[in-house]
Order: sequence, then structure tokens, then C-alpha cells
Amino acid sequence: MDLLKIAYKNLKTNFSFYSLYFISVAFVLMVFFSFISFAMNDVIMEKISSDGRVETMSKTVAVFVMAFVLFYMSYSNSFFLKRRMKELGIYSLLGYRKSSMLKLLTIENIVICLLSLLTGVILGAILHKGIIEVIIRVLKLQIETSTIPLFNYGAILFTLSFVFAALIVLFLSNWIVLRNSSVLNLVRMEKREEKKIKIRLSLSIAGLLFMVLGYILAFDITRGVESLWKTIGFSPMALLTMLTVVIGTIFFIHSFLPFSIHKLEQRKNWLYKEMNIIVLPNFKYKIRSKAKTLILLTLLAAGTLSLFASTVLSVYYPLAATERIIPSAIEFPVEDKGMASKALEIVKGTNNVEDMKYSETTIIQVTSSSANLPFEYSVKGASGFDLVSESDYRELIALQNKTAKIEKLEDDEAILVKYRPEEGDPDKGNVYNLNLSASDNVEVMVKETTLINPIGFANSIATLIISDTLYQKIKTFGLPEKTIMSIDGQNMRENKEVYENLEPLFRDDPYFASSYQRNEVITQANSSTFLLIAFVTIIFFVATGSILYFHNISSIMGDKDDFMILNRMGYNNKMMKKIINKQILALFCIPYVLGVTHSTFAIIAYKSALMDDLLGRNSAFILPVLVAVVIFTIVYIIYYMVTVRACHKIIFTN
Amino acid sequence: MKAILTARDVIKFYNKNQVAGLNKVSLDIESGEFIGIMGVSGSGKTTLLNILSTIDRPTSGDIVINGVKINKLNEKKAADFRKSNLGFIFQEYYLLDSLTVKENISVPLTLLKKSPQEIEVSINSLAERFGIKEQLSKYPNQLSGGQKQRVAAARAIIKKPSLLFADEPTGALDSKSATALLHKLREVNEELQTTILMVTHDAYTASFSSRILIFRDGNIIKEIRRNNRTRKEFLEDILTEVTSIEVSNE
Ligand SMILES: Nc1ncnc2c1ncn2[C@@H]1O[C@H](COP(=O)(O)OP(=O)(O)O)[C@@H](O)[C@H]1O
Ligand SMILES: [Mg+2]
Repeated sequence: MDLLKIAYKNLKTNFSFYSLYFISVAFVLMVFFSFISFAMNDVIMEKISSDGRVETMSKTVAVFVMAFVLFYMSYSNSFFLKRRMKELGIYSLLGYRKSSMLKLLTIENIVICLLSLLTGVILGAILHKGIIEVIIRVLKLQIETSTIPLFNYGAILFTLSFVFAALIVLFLSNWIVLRNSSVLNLVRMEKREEKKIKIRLSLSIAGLLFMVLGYILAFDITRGVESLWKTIGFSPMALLTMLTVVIGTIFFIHSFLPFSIHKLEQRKNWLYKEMNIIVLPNFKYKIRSKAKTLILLTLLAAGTLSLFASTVLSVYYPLAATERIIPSAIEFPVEDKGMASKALEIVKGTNNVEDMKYSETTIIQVTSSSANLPFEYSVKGASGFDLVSESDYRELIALQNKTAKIEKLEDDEAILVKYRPEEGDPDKGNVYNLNLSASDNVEVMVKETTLINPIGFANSIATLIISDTLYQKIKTFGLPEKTIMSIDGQNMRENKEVYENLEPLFRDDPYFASSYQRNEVITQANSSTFLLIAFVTIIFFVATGSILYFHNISSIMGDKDDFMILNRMGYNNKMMKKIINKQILALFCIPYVLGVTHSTFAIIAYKSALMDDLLGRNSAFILPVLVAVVIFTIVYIIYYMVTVRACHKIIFTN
Repeated sequence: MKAILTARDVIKFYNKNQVAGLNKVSLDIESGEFIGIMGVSGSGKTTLLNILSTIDRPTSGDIVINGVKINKLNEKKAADFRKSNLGFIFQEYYLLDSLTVKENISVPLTLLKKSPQEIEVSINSLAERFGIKEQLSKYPNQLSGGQKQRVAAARAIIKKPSLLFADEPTGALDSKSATALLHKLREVNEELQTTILMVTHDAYTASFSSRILIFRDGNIIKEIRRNNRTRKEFLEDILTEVTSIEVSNE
């Protein structure tokens, strides 16, 4: 019989198996094609990128994605090849030469890859259209979607050449595998004799220790100036931490987990339970035989999750910080009374403004000769404190719809507005000497500090709130002053028209601040980066999910007999379903739990190192991480359910 | 002696309009018997075994084991019934690869929620009986075929089933291992009074039983009892009967 004919028969009987291979490759090519179509779309690229930054970035991402798709394809190829070793061994026993087996594998790969390519291109084109639609909505681009072709021929050509290159790689890797295997180990490879599971106590402890050490190193960064990250340096510490965590992960999965299960198994009351007796040994066995894959998946998941969460954080955080940087919707220094009233008229006259509130605040600028001045004192061009009266402060806070619990100030007390929170509140209780004239000065004691700044940092920093009577007294000394107009009101912070109407009046004035405009700038600058990262994240989430899916499916296919015998021994269908679910859950949990904890520590380090902490609240950090984790969780839950369903189908249909 | 299993007019059609897998089979098995079922490949032996052991349902007919009408049980009840009453041995062993030998043997008792102490005691005494004491902490793929089958037998017997079903238990073994296993089954049958129903196409294997039912085209066509004869005499009798059936068949 012709080998092709045998192969065709084999394909028919193992259809579900081949279809898995096909679906996985088609899926990856779909994502790949939609990404390439997106990156090669000049119309979109022109709109979202003005300086070529996005192009450079998407090229980098494309290289990354290509490398990954190639890895994924050769991974699934060798994964499926391993499962077919016995079949190849039989061909070999029948007298077929390795060259004809290689020919067979290559033809199969060509057929599967071309079919996947076709499917991937069609579905990817549709996906790409959908993504473009979303981008246009989100970025409010002026593009007619119908002008963007469904099929980008450049992208098709590119994908085709990529698949061709991938086929050559697969050919070479199959050739190497076949060349290195004898008939005997071809036949035996499929169910290779498991070495007796040796569990080394030292390695498992090392795994745990390294991981905990990595976490401690990452967390150390929050100690600020004293931390090792400052004393040793950021890059060496980042490298060291990553290395420690990676080594920790490897031994944790490879040794510590099986070791803990081994310990659990020794507690007979635990082991001899109808579920545990099957699930625990199986878990230990699976972790060991799939350790490499699980480690890879965990690191991939952790890396992706960290990348995504840090991207979300770097977009979200500046947006959240706008609240402090520009506390009122509109703010500008009043240099000319006429212009200020004109501005107020413009705001009032804007169509959608119903309720406008405004307040003028006069700031007295004063210097101090105290020794222990806060760092805010000297960050601006001319060092000094900005004095604001208590009643002005209260009025502004009310205008901004905030509440601040402050007690009435005495004349020798002040509240210092901090730029960022500081550990231990070191400014509290300090006494500052304010120079009123060459001979006069007054002392105020910092009663407390606050993060609720009444005026934006562009117009006032080192703001000191003092009692009204002291303010009136200082005013008589004729120190330099400036007046700030703050405008706020319902929906004013997001009001586009107000900004657009006012903008011509203040052209080029760096002290004119609009919260709407700042948020727009942040969104525009980050959304393309965000989009690309989201793309990569989804590819990686999906890839890790798919790898878990295929591993579970292929291992459950080999477990059919086990469930048959369990059924004979008296396990009913419900119990067997529970066993299957637990087995799958255990494998999903490893990359999930470790991925989430790893990336949480990575984000803590990232935030402490690179973000200017203005908000001083954890919620601003937790929220983005939560978003990333929720998306990850949803993807994994979906994969878990799909996997469970598929496995039930395999076991419960003949 | 009381009947442990009675089957009446059991018919099994796999597909409509096709020849029956089982064609009106009736049989009674008494407690403590060692029954051998012989027949050529495809004669319906496995079908009968599956139906008698609640794995498959008959198209018609009734089966009663220990007073329970098993052909009327739902999936869950049938599993519970197997759990507390039946043991199985197969040609292919079907050991759980990820479990050690000890864990494999413990499964049936674990399922019956026995205490860990009781489980360990039972495992140790059975391991002694089957000569696998040294193998308890090994994994199945570190064992020879004969050892695997002895483990499978220990696993089937540990819960003291009222009925043990064995489908070609020696089919994959060399003759030495096969003989050793059969002696063990015989021993279990005699010492523990376990009722055994063993399917085989091999006369030598069948000669270890006390009564043989010869099967053809889904029907019992002949019964041979060992009575008080030696195994050798019994074997000669079986061989002559089988040959005469084959001759009459040509
Ligand atoms: N699941 C099934 N579906 C259809 N026919 C079957 C099935 N199982 C067995 N048969 C048929 O029933 C007959 C008896 O088979 P079986 O009981 O396995 O024989 P034995 O065990 O004696 O070799 C055979 O003709 C076989 O083809
Ligand atoms: Mg059979």
C-alpha cells in the first residue's frame, strides 16, 4: 500500500487529532494576519501616528509576534509529532524509509498549513475589520471604514511568505527528529517509560526560597531611597530579581509542587478519599511530565500580564493624576481683568454649560529662611511658599466638589499642600519662618499636610494654607501676588466645547490649564501603544490558553482507558466528571496563580520605580492591575470551560 | 448452594436487522463457583460479560445478581452496584499509570470509604498472597506483564466482590505467568469463596475452572463440569469436546 494512502486512512481515523492541529495553527494565523493587516494599513497608521513612533513600535511588535507564531507552530508540530511516533514506528517496521516518512510529514504539514492559512486569512480579515472599527470609535478618527479593504494584499503576500518560511523550519525540525530516532525508540517514544519520580527535597526548598527571595527583592523597591534598587542600581537589581524569580519558578514547578503533593499523599487520611486517590497522584505525574510546558506557560503568562498591567497603569495613572495636576476644570492666571471676564463670558455662552462656578484666588508669594524646608519650596524657578487663605481654600475645595476635613486654623498654624505623599509625613510639626520684609517675619507651624491641592501645580506649588487673619496681616506687607481663576461645574472637566472656545483666547499661554485637554493629550499619546500592547497581550493569553487546551485534550485522549476502568470499579459519571475537572483545573491553576502573583510584584516594582506617585492611594494602582487580572481570568475561565467540555466529550462518547 | 446470578432469555442486538450478539442466553451461577466461558473469537463472550456486569444493557431479558435486578438500574445505581459487588480483570490489565501499585490496589476500598488502616492491612495481605510486596511503591510501567496482571487481580479482589469477572485474563501473558495467575485465581476461589466468571478461548486456561460453558453465535451450546476429576483429565475432556464441536462445524 502506498504510504500516502495509509496516511490518508490514518488521517480519517485520527480526524479529531488532526483537526486540533489545524484549528490551533489556523487560530494563530488568524491573529497573525489581522495584526499584519493592521500594521500594513497606511490609512490608519497615518492617522494614529504623526512621528513614526507607532510604525517603529508595530514593526518591533511584528517581529515579536512572528517569532512567537513560529515558536508556537513548531511547538505544536513537535507536540503532535511526538504523539504520532508509534504510527511512524509502524511504518518504519513495515519497511518505509525515513525519507518517505519525512515526505509524508511534509505533505501533511503543507496541506494543514495551507488550509489553516486560508481559514486564518479569511477570519483574520474579518477580525482586522472589527479592530479597525473599534480603533476608529475609540480614537474618534475621521476615517470612512468602507475605504479600508477587507483583504490587504500586501499582508496576504507577507503572511504567505511567512508560512512558507515556517514550513521550511518545520521540515528541518522534523528531519532532525526523524534522523535522530531509531525504529525502536520511534515505537516506544509515544509512551516512553517514565523514570521513577525522584523528588529532591533540596531542589524543592530551593524553588520556594528563590521565589520568595525574588518577591522580597521586588518588594524592597518600596523602601525608597534606602532600598537596594537605589543603592545597587536599577538595572542590576531588575536583572537579579527577574533571574531569581525565573529560577524560583522553574524549581517551584519542577520540584516543590510534586514534593508538596508527595507530602500530602503521605497523610493517608487525605490520600484515601475517592477523589484524592486518583487526582493527587495524577497531578504529581502530570506536573512532572509537563513541567517544561508549565514553566514556559507560567513565565509567558507572568510576562504578558506584567506588560499589560504596566501599560494599563501608565495610561491610567496620568489620567487619574489629572485630578491633582489640574484640580479645577479650567485654570488660568488673571493678568488682565478684561480678558478674565471675557473668558467667563465665553464659558457661560457655551451651549452645553448649565451650571458654571468660578473663583478667584489671590496667592501671596513669600520666602522663608528656615532650614528644614520641604522639597516643594525650591522646585520652581524662584523658590518660595504660595500663601492661600483658609477661606479661599475652603471655597476652592467646595468648587471642585471635594471635601477636606480641616479644623479652623490658628494664626500660628498652616497646612502644607504636598506634591507627593512622603513616608512618615516628615513635614508635619515643622516651623517655618516667613520673611515679610527686611525686618519683619512670622513663624507658622505645619499643623498637617494634605494632598488635596486647591490650585494646579502649573500655577502653584509649595502652597501653604494659613488663617484668614494672618493672611490679611501679611497682605499689608505688599509682597508679590498673583491671582488665579478657577472654573468648574457640572461635567465641566470633560467639556470639549468649553476648551475649544477658550483656547484661541489663551493661545500659547503655558499657565492656561484644562483638564479636558490634558486628558486628550494623554489618550492620544498612549492609545496606539496601548492598542499594540493589548494586541500582543491577547495573542499571548490566547496562546497560553490554547497550549493548555491542547495538552489537556491530548492527555485525556490517552486516559480513556483509565476512565473506563474507573467506571468499572464503580465511579459514576458525575464522579468521573469531577475528576476530569479537577485534573484540568490543577493544570490551569499553576500558570494562572503564579502568573498573577509574579506580575503583582512586577507591577509594585514598576510603579515604585517609574511612576511619579501623586495620588498616594493604592486604588490608583490596584484598579489597572485588577483590569489586567480580570481580563486574564476571563480568558482562562473561557479556556477552562471549553477544555472541560471537550474532555467530557472525549471520555463520554465512544 | 444458593444462586448468585441468574440470567433469563438475555438477548442483545447491537444493530437492528443484524445477527444477535446474544441469542436468548439463560444461565445460573451459584455462589463459590469458578465458571469458564469458552468460545471462538466473535462468539459473544465479551458481550455476555458486559451485560452480566451492568456495563451494557440487554435488548431484552432479565439478570438478577444477589437479588438485584441489574438490567433495570440507572447509571448511578449501576456504578454503585459495581462498586460494592463486582470485580474486573482484563487482558490489557488497565492499571492506572500515574498511580503506584499500592495506590492502584487501594482504589476500590477507597471508593467504599474504608479507613486508611483497614486499606493498608488489606493491601499488605493481598500483596503477600500475589507476591508483589516488593513492587508496591513502583509504577505500573516498571513491572512485567505477569506482575501487572497480578496487581490487577489484587485490585479486583481486595474489596471481596461477590462476583469476579475476568475477560481473557491470560491473553497477554507468557505461559509461566499465565499458570501462576490461574493458580492464584483458583486459590482465591477456594479460600475466599469468591465467585469467578472467566472468559477465555483457551482450553488450558479454562481447565482451571469448575464448570465450563461453551459459547457459539451468542448461545451456550454445551456445558462441561469438572466434578472430581483432576485438572489434567478435565483438560483432555475439554479438548475433545472443543474438537468435536469444531469438526461438526466444518
Ligand atoms: N459495540 C459493538 N457494536 C456492534 N457490534 C458489536 C459490538 N461489540 C461486539 N459486537 C459484535 O458482537 C459479536 C460478539 O462480539 P464479542 O462479544 O466481542 O465476541 P468475543 O468476546 O467472543 O470475541 C461480534 O460479532 C462483534 O462484531
Ligand atoms: Mg472478547
